[in-house]
Amino acid sequence: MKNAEFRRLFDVSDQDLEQVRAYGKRVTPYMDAFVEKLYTFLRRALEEHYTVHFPDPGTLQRAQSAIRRAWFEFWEARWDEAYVASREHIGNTHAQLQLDPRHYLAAMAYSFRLWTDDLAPQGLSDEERRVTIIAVQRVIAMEGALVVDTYHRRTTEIIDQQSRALVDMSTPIAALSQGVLMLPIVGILDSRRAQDVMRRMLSQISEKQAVAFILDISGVAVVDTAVANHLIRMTKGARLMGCTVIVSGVSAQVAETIVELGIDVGEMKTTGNLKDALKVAFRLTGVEAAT
Amino acid sequence: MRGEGRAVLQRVGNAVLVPVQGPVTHDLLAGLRRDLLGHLAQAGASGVVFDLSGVEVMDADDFAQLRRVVDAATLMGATVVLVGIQPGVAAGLVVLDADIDWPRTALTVDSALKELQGP
Repeated sequence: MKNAEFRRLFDVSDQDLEQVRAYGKRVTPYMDAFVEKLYTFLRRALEEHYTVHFPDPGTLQRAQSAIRRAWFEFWEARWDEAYVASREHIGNTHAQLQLDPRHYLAAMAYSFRLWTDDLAPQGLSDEERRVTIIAVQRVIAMEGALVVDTYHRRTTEIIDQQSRALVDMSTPIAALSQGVLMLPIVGILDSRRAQDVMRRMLSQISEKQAVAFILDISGVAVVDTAVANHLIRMTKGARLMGCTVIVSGVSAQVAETIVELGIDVGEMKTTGNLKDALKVAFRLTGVEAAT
Repeated sequence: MRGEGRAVLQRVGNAVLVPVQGPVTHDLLAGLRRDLLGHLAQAGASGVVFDLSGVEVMDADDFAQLRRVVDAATLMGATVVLVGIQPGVAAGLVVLDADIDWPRTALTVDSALKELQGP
């Protein structure tokens, strides 16, 4: 269970939670003052971000009532599954809105100060104050970790989704004719992208039973040793499946670079333009190329 | 154990078709080499086609082992062609930096046989 895991990690005992609840009964009457002070601080500390986060009075009011609810829950300190779910919701919302986690943590740090110092009730003994601060600090740290953890997970998910979509978008493999596939590579070919491209290329070769695969690199920004090696590996991978790769779009500059860097392209078939690549491909498939 | 994962040789004209199924174990390759070389010694063949479409997993080591079988058959005068290597297997071998430059390959059994019978 997630709540048990977090309580173990942050060493929060039942007694700590009891302490938080008892203190909460004494400070929740000051909730209005708390919200006001917190937002005064945020307006000052966030500077121009403040208007980005809270562009209109409606948004501000929604955020403030959400904060109130969150703090009332905090002082109830139930730490059950419902509580964890509500904190995960906060993390997810922040991730969705792309709020800076630094701002969240800053608000939490300031809140801690408000609750334990500025708004601390009179008449607490030093010992009471000490154990209260320790308990509240632990629970706030645990809560912050839970929210930021959720935030981080959600953000990673979003990035993963985007990069998957990007891979699909950036590898538009087209079937030119029976047994001939073509893929124009545009932009930067780093090792991660090269692997993605190769995987998609190989599965398409198998699916479409391609005899020839034209890899057009006229749109590749930089061709250096690393890129050349990626191309060579792709060529080998395809060859293993019985498909010949023809690298087209080798410009004069790229050819010069390859020679200058002393890259051994081995048996890699290359052509200067797409037209010649098609001729080679059609020869491989036994189709006469139209001239 | 003998029956499972064992390659059965099929004669196609002047060539031998070797369908390989399942994991490429040491035992499988040893049996395969014995059977194939025996067949080549007895009946002779100009070509051998390994159909690897039934192989889902193969690491660099397995592939190097396979090469020994292929090399032995080549020494006996047969031209060996590998076909049907799965995309996952090919990608894996490339990523593992295995030595994959050696084999003759073809896309399908048909094209391999045609290539062997061609000029």
